[in-house]
Amino acid sequence: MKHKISTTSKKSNKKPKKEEKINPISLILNYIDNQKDIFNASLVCKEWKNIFDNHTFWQEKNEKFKFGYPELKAKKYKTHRSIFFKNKGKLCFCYQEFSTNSDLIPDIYFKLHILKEYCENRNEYKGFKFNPHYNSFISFVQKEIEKIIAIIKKYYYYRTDFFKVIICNLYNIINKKDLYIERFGGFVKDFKYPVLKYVDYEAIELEKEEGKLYDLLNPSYREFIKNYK
Amino acid sequence: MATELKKVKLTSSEGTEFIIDRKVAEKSVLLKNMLEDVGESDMAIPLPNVTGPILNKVIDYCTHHRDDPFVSQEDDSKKVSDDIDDWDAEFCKVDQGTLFELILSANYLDIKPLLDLTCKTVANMIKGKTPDEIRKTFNITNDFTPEEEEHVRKENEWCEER
Repeated sequence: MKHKISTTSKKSNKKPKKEEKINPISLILNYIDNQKDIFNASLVCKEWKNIFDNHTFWQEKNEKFKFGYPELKAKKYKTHRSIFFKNKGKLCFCYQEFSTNSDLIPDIYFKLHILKEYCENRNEYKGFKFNPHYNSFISFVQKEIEKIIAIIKKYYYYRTDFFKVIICNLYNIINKKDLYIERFGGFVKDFKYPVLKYVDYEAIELEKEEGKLYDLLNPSYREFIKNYK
Repeated sequence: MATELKKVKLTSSEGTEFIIDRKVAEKSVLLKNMLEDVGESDMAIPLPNVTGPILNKVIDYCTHHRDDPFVSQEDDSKKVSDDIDDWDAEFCKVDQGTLFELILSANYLDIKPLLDLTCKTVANMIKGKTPDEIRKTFNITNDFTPEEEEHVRKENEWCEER
């Protein structure tokens, strides 16, 4: 007996994929692991942007920050991307404002205060998992911040890029990969205290003259640019 | 052993018939499941989503890799690696249109290694390039207004890993 063969397999329970119009780019984006490349691809054209908006990238972000999943019956937040943007306000300061790039000393000063507050308040968040490394780390960052605030108060007129370098350093420490920050808490895994190599506090204390201090800070800035560009 | 000698008939979208070894056809999960469902049959299997020249290329690939071990859907370990062997690299030296059709066919026929290979090849054309360079590579027109582009850039900047 002859059978009529169709391309629908009973075993796989798959319908023929002819009806679904698949853009090959949606498949290709799954093979790009670098975030920068994914972002660049999303800037190519609107079609690619739409594909990116439905990419698993957003799902991974939501899973990382525990923002949940889109609900089938939801009217507004149906995609992972929309869920992410709905919840982004819940992220801590470091995740929200890191990319702001203000040159103004008052802004920098304000940022340092926020950072300090953030470190102080970490212990009070719900769901905090106690870890001795974490507490030592917070104390370390706090001390660094206090030193910097004192420097800003004392040498208010110095180069702003110097202070930006310090803040970037602190953020980089806080966001280090071995420091896992959860939404409401976090812990430091075997954290080794880094030395802020771009800041030589003792030298700053010794060198009271503006010209000499300027020479001291300049190489630090160059070093920073070399490493972070 | 018996299955290796058996032949399977496939028909492309234009009606071109291809007769191949069952073992080669079974590199496609879709065809494998279908052949198991249907059992013995002389009927040709219609593949309305695959054109003759593309089916020919797919058969070339499956024939070359007929003895390779089966790769499961869940095995993503090689997904992002850049290593492509010489035969495969030569196989992918085709125009972009053919490459995209191969991707769609591999996805439709459920041939994971071919999908991996073709997607990786195109992904390598995207990696490390600016949006402008990507547009030039794939001959795409930028349909964003400067404001829209800036908005997307800002969103992206915001989401970058820190």
